[in-house]
Amino acid sequence: MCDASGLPGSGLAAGDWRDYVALLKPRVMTLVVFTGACGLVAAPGKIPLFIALVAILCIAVGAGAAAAFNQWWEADTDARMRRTANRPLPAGRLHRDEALAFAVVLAGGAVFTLGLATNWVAAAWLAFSIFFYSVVYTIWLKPRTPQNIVIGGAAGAFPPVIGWAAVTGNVTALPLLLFAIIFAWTPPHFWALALFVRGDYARAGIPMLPVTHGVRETRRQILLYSIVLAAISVTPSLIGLTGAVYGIAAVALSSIFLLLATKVARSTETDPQSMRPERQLFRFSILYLFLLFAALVGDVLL
Amino acid sequence: MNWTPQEEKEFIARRRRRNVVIGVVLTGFALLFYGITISRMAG
Repeated sequence: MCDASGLPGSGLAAGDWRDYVALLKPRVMTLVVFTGACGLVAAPGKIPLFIALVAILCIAVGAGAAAAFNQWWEADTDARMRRTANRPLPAGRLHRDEALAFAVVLAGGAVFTLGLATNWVAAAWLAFSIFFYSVVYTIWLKPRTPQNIVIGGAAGAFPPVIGWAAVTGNVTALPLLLFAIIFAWTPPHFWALALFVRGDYARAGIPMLPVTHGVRETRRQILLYSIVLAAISVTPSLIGLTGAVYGIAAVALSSIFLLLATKVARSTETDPQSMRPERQLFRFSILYLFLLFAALVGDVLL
Repeated sequence: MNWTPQEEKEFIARRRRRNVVIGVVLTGFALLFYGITISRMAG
């Protein structure tokens, strides 16, 4: 058994700096940074480039803090899943108290810095998003309901709203629609993944939809949420909040998304290793969000 | 503490690397606030 240092019986904490970086879930942060930056660019008005970069940094650090808090809370669960067993806490490379302190300092620092650099409306949204992910999602809903990922989707949907608020100091219809897009995108994205790694979730006792309601129901819900996603994605264009670039991209990308979701819904495969449509949808869903938000920025810049 | 020389060496190296990173982050934080102050004053 290793202690915080990773060495047997040392009694001292000296985790590697890379373990702290791993607590931030940097891969998830990519999408957060990107959507936050898109919200910032799409917002009417201008802020100095340096302040814009600080705002994006704060959004990223805030998301990282929420991820660190999540790993602090779920260290026991993570130890039971193959996918997460090598994270710094379950692997014993960091102490849980260190992770909690790290999360609290980062969260406070990000909110405070964003407030000073931009405005306190943006800082309040950032604080609420960290609270929502850490407490409402991680502690309250994730272990209790198979709809956990639907609520969790809201936590990941805040960055464009925060980016927008950093520039304008308020939140209007377009950032709320961007929020709704990520909110509706999350369930099909995660359930596609959950279908082919459901054994992991079952072992860890997490009530993910494929575990609690079966593969067939999950596939049906993936299709339903994909339809909702497509409808919300084209709305900004239909009500004149965005231009042609976004409109064309939203229609094209949503059509492909719906096609892949239909393939998932029609699949009867039960062996996770052979779930090709699910893997296709999962991979495309990431590309979908990147391209949709890139189109939004393209609309503003062109 | 019952460490082998190799374990002790590894521990010290890891602690040094972490301290260097903390130093870099703190310096970055100071520069960040300097930049924020200048940008806000200019704005």
